[in-house]
Formats: sequence, C-alpha cells, structure tokens
Amino acid sequence: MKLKHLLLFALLSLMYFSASAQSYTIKGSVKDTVAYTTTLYTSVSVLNVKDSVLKAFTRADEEGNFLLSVDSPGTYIIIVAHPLFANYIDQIATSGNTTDIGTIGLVSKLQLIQEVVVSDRRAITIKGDTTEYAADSFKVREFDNVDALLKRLPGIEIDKDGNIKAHGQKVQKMMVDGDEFFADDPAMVAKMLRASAVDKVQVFDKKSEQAEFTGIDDGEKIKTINLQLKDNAKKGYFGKIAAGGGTDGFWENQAMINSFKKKRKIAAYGIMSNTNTTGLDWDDSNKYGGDANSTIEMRDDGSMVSYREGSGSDWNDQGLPKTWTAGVHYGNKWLEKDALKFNGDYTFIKNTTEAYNNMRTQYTLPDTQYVNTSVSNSFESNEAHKIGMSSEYKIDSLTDMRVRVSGRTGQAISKSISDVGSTNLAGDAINSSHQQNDNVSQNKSIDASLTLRRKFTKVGRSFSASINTKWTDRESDGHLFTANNFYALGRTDTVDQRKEGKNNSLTFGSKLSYTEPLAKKIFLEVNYSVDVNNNQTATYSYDQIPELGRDTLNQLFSSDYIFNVLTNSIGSNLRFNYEKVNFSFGGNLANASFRQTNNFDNSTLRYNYINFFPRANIRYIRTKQSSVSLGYNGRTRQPTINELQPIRQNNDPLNVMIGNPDLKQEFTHDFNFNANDYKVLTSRWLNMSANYSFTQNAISQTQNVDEAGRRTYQSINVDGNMRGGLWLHYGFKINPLKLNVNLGGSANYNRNNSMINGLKNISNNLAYGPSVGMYFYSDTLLNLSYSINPNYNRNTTSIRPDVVTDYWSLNQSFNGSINLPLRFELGTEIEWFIRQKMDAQDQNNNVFRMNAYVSRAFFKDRSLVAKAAGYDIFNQNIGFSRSVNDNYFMESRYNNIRRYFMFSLTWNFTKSGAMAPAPAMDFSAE
Amino acid sequence: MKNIIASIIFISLSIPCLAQFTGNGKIYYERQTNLKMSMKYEWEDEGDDNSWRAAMLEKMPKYQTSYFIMSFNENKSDYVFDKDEETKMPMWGGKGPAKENHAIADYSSKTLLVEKEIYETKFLVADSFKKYTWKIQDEVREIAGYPCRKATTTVCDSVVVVAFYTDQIMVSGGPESFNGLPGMILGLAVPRLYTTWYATKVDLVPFDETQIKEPKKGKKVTSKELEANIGEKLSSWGKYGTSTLWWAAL
Repeated sequence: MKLKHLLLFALLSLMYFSASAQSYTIKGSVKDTVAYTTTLYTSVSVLNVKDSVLKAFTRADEEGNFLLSVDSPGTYIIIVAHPLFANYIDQIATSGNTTDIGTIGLVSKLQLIQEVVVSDRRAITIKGDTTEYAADSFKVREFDNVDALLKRLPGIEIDKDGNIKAHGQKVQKMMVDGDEFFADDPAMVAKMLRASAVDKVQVFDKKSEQAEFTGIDDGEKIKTINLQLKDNAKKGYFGKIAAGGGTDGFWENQAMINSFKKKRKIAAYGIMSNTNTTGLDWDDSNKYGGDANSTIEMRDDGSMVSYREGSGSDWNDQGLPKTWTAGVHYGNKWLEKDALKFNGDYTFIKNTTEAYNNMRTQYTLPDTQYVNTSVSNSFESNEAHKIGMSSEYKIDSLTDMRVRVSGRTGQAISKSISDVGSTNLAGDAINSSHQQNDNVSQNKSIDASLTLRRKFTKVGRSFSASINTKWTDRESDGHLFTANNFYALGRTDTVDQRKEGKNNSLTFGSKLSYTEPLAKKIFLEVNYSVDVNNNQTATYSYDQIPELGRDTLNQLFSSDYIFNVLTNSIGSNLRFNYEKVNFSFGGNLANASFRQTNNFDNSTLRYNYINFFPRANIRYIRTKQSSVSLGYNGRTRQPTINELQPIRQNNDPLNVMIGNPDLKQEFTHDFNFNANDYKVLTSRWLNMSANYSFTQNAISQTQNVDEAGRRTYQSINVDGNMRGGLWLHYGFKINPLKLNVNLGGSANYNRNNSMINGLKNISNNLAYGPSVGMYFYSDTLLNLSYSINPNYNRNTTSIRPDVVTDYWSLNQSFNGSINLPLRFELGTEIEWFIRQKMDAQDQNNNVFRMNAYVSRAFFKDRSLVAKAAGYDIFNQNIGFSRSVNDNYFMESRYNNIRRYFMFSLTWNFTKSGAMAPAPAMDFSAE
Repeated sequence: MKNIIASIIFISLSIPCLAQFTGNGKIYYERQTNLKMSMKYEWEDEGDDNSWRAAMLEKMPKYQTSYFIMSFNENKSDYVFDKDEETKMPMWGGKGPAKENHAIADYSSKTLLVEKEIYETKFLVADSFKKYTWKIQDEVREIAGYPCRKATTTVCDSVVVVAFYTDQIMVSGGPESFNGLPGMILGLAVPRLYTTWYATKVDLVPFDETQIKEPKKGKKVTSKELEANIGEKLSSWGKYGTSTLWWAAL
C-alpha cells in the first residue's frame, strides 16, 4: 500500500514538473507524532519573509504529504494549519529546484492549551473593569497619530512592528466609537486617527460576540481598546464684512459673524441695502441664521423634507426697496448624544418700498369693450421685532419631544394715492375716482407648539401627538378719502372717513396620528385632529363732516363680528410598499362648523359643512432611477365667510363685493401623472408630467357692470371649470464638448366659467412653448449657460368670440464667468425679453438687461475681494408685466431698480482652533 | 483483501477528523455599513459648517445592514443578496450602486461571473480570478465558530481590504469577488467604505451546483471594461464618485 502511494506521488510530481518547469518546488509531509491521527487536508501556506505576502498554498494528502511551488528561490515562511493541531510556523529556505523540508511534527491542541493556560495565569495583571484614559491629559504633537498617544499611556506598549499590548496582553481589537477599526489602511489612520481627535481611550476585556448576544458569559475575553472621538470640538469664529457704494445713491452693506465653541454657536448679522438684498441668502442663512425656524424631517417613505419658516421677502421686482435687518442667534446642545437641543433667535427687520404703478386693463363685455386705467403712488413700511425659540429633547432612543415658541411685534405703515378711471374704446370717460388711503397698524402675535413622537421596536409602528396655539392681535388706524365721478349718471360723491380696525384671534389645535404595520409591506395610518378658532374683526368708520362734528360713526360701513370655527377631522390611509409598486389610498373627513355673531345687532348665523378629501396614489418603480406614478386627489372647499356675507367696504367704490348665502361647497378632482427616467452614467434624463383637474360646483364669480362703470361681484357656483397641463423635459450631455443640453416644452390650458351682466362667459386660455437650454462648465476656468424660451398665449371668451387676444413672447438668458490670471474674475448676466406688440400703437415692451462685474481677490487665502459691478448697464430694465385673465387683459408699468454701478469690498475672516491642548480632528485630510 | 479491509477501517476511523474540514455548505453573511461615517466621507465632510447636512446625518440610522448567502462546493460558489434589515432609510441615502451583487465563482476554470447593477445599467462582469496579493497576518479570530486567520490586500491601487479566512473550509472563495486564500473568507472589511462582511452561520449542507441561476441579462464586460465604462464618469464626481468606483470594484 505504501509503495502504491509513493508511486502515485512520484507520478503526480512528474506531471507537475512537466507542467511548469521554471518553478521551485517545496515538498514535505505533516505527521501527528503523538497520536498518529490522519493529517489529510492540513493547509500549508508559504509566505514571503519580508512582507508576509502569500505565495502558494495547498492541502496535504492522506499521508500528510504536500507539494508546493514558488516562482523564485529564497527564504519563506511556512504556515501549517489543522484545527486539531497547533499552528506550525517556521522559516524555510529553498535549495535547488526541489526542496524537501522533511517531516513536520504537529502538536495536538489539547497538549498546547494546557501549556497556554499556565502562561496565561502568569500574564494576567488586570481583571474585569475598563481602564480609561483621558486623551487630553497626555501631551502629543499637533499632527501625531494615535499610536504616539497610546505610547504615552501607562500600561500600553507598542513594539517595533506596531503590535499594541495593553497590560501585558496583545490588543486584538481596536474600536472607534464602538465600531471595529482596521488600522491596516494607512489612509484611514491618517484620516481618522489623529491623536488630537481622540477624547478618551478605554481599555477593557471584551466578551465574545456570542456572549454579548446571549448574555451568557462563556469566559472568552478579547483585550480591546476603544477610542472615543471628540465631537468636532472646535473653537473659533468666522465672518464676513461687505461694503458697497454705487452711483445714483445705491448702497449695500453686510456684516456677519459666527462664533463657535464646542457645540455652542452664537451668530449675528446685519444687512442694509437698497439693491434688493433683503436678507441672508441660503448659504449665509445656514452659517449665520438661526435653526429655530427651520425643520428637517425624514418621512416614513424615506424622503427628507426641510423647510424654513418666514424667510425671504415677497418683493416682486416692483418699486424701490430699502432694507435694514439684523439678527442674533444662539444654539447649543447638551447631554449624551446631544439629547437636549436649544436654539434661540432674535431678528429685527425694517423695509420700505416706494412704488409707482400705471395699469391699463381692457375688459371685454358682451356688447362693448372698455378700458380701465389706474395710476397709483404708494409707500409701504414694515418694521418688526421677532423672537423664536425651539428646543428638542430626546427622552430615549424611541421618544422625542419638541417645543417651539415664537413671538412678533411690529408696525406697518401704508400710504397710497391713486387715480382710477374707465373709458370706452373711443376714449370717452365713463367714470373716474381719486383715492387716498393711509393706514398705520400695530401687529402682535405669539405662536407655540409642542410635539411628542414615539416610535416602537416594531418597524413601522409610530405615534405622534401635537398641540399648537396662536394668538394674534392687530389694531389699525387709517384714513380714506375718495372722490368719485360717474359721468354716465352725472353724479359725484365723496367719502372722507377715519377708519379704526381691530382684529384678534386665538386658535388652538391638536393632532394625533398613529401608524401600524398590518403586514410586512402594508401600513395603516390613522389621524384625528381638532381645531378651534375664535376671531373678532371690527371696523369702525367715522365720517369727517365738519357740520356734524369730526367723528360721526358711519353705521353702514362699520361692523363688528365674532367668528367661531370648530373643525374636526378624521382620516385614514392604507399604504402598500412593495419593491416594485407602491400603492396608497385613503382620505380625510372634516366637519367645520361656523358661527358668526354680529355684535351690532346680536344676530347669529351658523353654517356647517362636511368636507371630504379622498386620495389615491400608485407608483411603479422600474429601476432606482426610473419610475412612473399616477395620483388622484379630491378636495371639497367650503365657501369663505367673505363669500357668504362679506363685510361692507367702501375702499374702492368702483368694485363692490356682495355675499351669496346660498353658496354650496365646490369639489375639485385632481389627476396627475409623472414619469421619469434618469440614466446616471450617460447623464441623460427624461421627465414627463401631466395634470388635469376639474371642479364641480366651482365657486366662481358673477360680475355686473352698470352704466356708470361700477362693478359688483358675487360668488356663485358653476360647473365646467377645468385646467390641464403638460410638461416635458429631456436633458443630455455632449461629452467631448462638456456641454449639457436641456430640451423641453410645456403647455397649459385653462377653462373658466363665470357670469357677466347675466350672461354666461366661458373663457379659454392656452399657453405653450418649447425651451432649449445649454451650459458648459469647466469647474475652475469657465462657466457658460444660455437658454431660450419662446411662449405663445391665446385667450378667447364666449361672450365676445370676435375678440381674440394672442401674442408671442421670447425670453433669452445668458450667464458667463471666467477666471483670469492674477486672481481676476469676470462675469456677466444677460436677460432679454422680447414681447410681441399687441397693435401698432403699442409701445416698445422689450427688455435687454445686462449685468456685469469684474473682481479681484487679494491675499494668499483670497479673503479680500474687490468688485466693480454694473447693474442694467444699458438702462433697459423697464418695469412691465402683462397678464391675460378670464375676460380681461392687463398691462402694468411700474418703477423698479434701473442702471447703477457699484464698487464693493468683501472681507471673509476666519479663526479656527481646537480646544486646548490639541487641534480639532480633520476629516478632510487624506 | 486484507488491505482493503484495513483501509476501510482506516477511513472510518478518520471520519471524525475529516469532519474538521469541509468542501461544501452554505454561509450566511451580514454586511454592515456605517452610514454616518460613509456619508460624511462622501459629502467631503463639511461638518458643522453645514448645519443642514449635520441635521440630516442626525436623522439617519447609524448602520445599514444587508444579508447575503453563499452556497458552495469545491467546484463552484454562488453568492447572492438575501435581504435588507428593515430600517428607515433616507430615500437617496439608501442603497447605492453595486450593493446587491450576485457572484458566481468557478474554482476549476478559475473564472468569475458577477452581476452588478450600477445605476441604470446591469453589468455582467465575466473574468478570470483577479490575482490578489494577500499578506498573511498573525491575528486569528473566531467567526461563526471557525478560527480565521487575518490577511490583507489592496484593490483600486490603495484601498485596503482585510479578510479573515478559515483553513477548515477547503474552498478558496469569499464574499463578492474575493478569493485566493488557503481557505474560505468568513470575514471581510473595507475600512475606507466603512463596511464589514461577517459570516453569522455556516451550514454544512451539500450544494448542487446545477441549482445556480446564472444571470443572463446584462451588459457583458470584463472588470477592465467595467472600469473603463464607469470610471471616467464617476471620477468627476468627487468623493462620492470615488467610493462608488470602489464599490463597483469589489
């Protein structure tokens, strides 16, 4: 038998040699020299001595013989491993083409363990408890890695091969914040393991993972070091100062600073400008603004939503704005894992706008067309102090609580003078009115909310409860003067009144919602909410008639109402989340009961409405980047109190609103479709969306225009209102040119029903146009973008089918910037609007607005930037807007910011240092 | 005849010892990615200065855990994605490309067929075994009941991969495309991707290789061609692109 095997072995060896003649063979055999058990399948590996690189491996045969080949002669490490035997590790040297290392005697583990136990007992110097070192107590140099720190810790040694011993034992596991850390990757060590990034070093005996899982201690321990990192323990400040002065009295100044120390953040900013810089931009508001008004949430479907309340201003390019704003922010975090957070803000804002507006509106009536003109000058000033606070407390890993409180006090002043009049197309005057309005109001409000959320260990189950309350108070004092001339009636009248207004409201709401997984992929959501709203609105008008005394109460135009609204809403939603298809349907049912009390005659009106909000949505996910969805949303809307019974007003005697107590709810059905397909690797994306909605019993308007040109409006229910839209977008990249191209188009159709002088009017509006955009982007040198967007508009009405309003417009824009040598940068922004003239007399409505700047950065860190910029260089920014609506066509011309040149200096400063004695951890270094 | 009887006795005696070694079975792997650390890396860590990102990180779970099963015999192995742990994941922060690879290794022809979904494209990477330069280390640890020796190698020029292999499984395979060690890889760590693969259980069951469902659909490429296909694009995406490239190379 033995002979047969030897023969076989020799044969195999021969075959092997013939296959690869260039290699050097190492052969030998492994034997159990004590119990003579078989050593079949014993693994034999050969490594380089200098770098432990695996060169070859094999398995021993039945007899324990093995044969390996390496590609070069020299010294190697041999590892022989078998689960029953202790590992055998030795150095071997090749001699000639075939090296026979002879028989390796394996030692049973049983024997070995007895020996090890003995040596172990001697080695143990510490038991059980964790030894912890505070890293900062041991001085290291700024850029030392963690091994320099470990060397300094008493009881920890590092040998020349980098092996770490703690309390005499080899450290087998190194962890960072509880995660295993493999220090084999030098880049990782440099990136994460700066000594200065370490807060604490903990040395302990870790139980085996099995023991940790079962809770049963199997006695197996692994010497472990855990490095607890610092929480980016930075200290310092950064900020920005910018000052700019320009021609024609334009100015823009900003200063902001953020100082941080550990988790505390204190920021302050101030901005004053008359160039439409009305607050912090998105980037700056992240750095210097408060967190008290911003929220970030992850929804159940995994989408992240973030929103910021009360930011930005509604300045719409009309008028000349001036802004002064300043704010202070404080934020801090406490407790373990930042369980308690607090943010507080104070903001002051004052803005004023001087506006001039010249509006021409052409109305289409069944038998006539007439033109309404209005010229107005207005001044508005708003001033407010706001404070906001928010705090979040994580009670435990599943429960958190959030409190928000904000308050505001302010004053608003508005003054306007306008001349309004109507003429027929021939230019004969129908009526005219001179109106002067002055108003000063004081506003106060307080808003508070508390939210409690609880998750459960069962995935998908969650509960949340919230309560909120809001109090507002507004008092106003104003004066109204109008002189009206009704030429057709040959009548004039004058109103000269002082007006006092009082409005206060208190609302209270609460909401409960609960989600339960019915099956693995099926979730049920239920919610209930109740809201109470108490509101008092009073207007007192006093006639200024010298003969009767200065302040005579005018009963007709005074009112004092109390509204109470109680809304109860209950809803439910069922969600099916399958891998390829998400489907959900459900709805809300809400009961709203109104009570309106007239404090003048103590009469009471009650309304009660049940509103229904059904919804359904289906989404097919073809791939991660490609999906199609179809949705339906239905909603009822109850008429507002103002539509049912408006408060009598005489601010604008040419437009009067009357109520309709017979109004019914309207029901809108919304359908939407969306498909997108994104090819990431080829930079190609396609997005298509369509929506269609129609309204049953739509609340629309009936208008009656009398021969004096006075219009009365009343809300009525109509059928047949609908709208639809289509949107298409295709983007791709032309790779060799680094050019991104977007092609798209949109179309919108709108049908609106109304009544005009007792006749039914159907107005159809259609707008469509293609769009082409392209941009070139080379990140350091040159950025260029261009877009062109022609648009066609067509409006028809059923009462005057002969009058069709249609026109083209064309928008083009170009943006470019280039980095020049010597730290110069050049940039421009061009917007070019071309509008088709409506008729031969129509004036030039085209705008060509070009802005350009040149800037240069100074200092090594480019912290100082000087910039010379021109806004609307060709002084072409005419304030103009045009809109088509239902049965009128409106054009408006207004004042706005025109050409100016500005020179500005911006200095960005920063000072950042770590907490003493070592610097902060640096994630960016690699 | 005597010889035959002797050898039968000999073989039957050695069975308990032979059971220390196995050539077929089923390995259950758990893959864990420290999401917060990898996000921080991919976002080039703007840290505290970007409060928006900091707030997002706070809302995310620390780990993303997925499960894989590898069935193997001495001829072939079949590594397939099993399931994800049910955690609330941000939509976009969820699974990136090449995170549900299906790898079929043929140990006799030393070839590998891996199905990798990278964004919109399903790639079928067919290639011979990559020649890893494994460095064998001293450290031995127990994974799923098997003593495993540590070995390290690098992929993509500099990305270190740490593997723990056991001599007791006589198949030189491992999760993803890793192989070439004197035994089966039961533990794998790619520190720079903040990801580890650990076997949680090894079932010693026979494996019928004809049951392998070979992926048929997809763009057939070699690993070199795959890199050429996606490399140019991803290398212009900063650190997110780099780490995606690393994932695709596993």
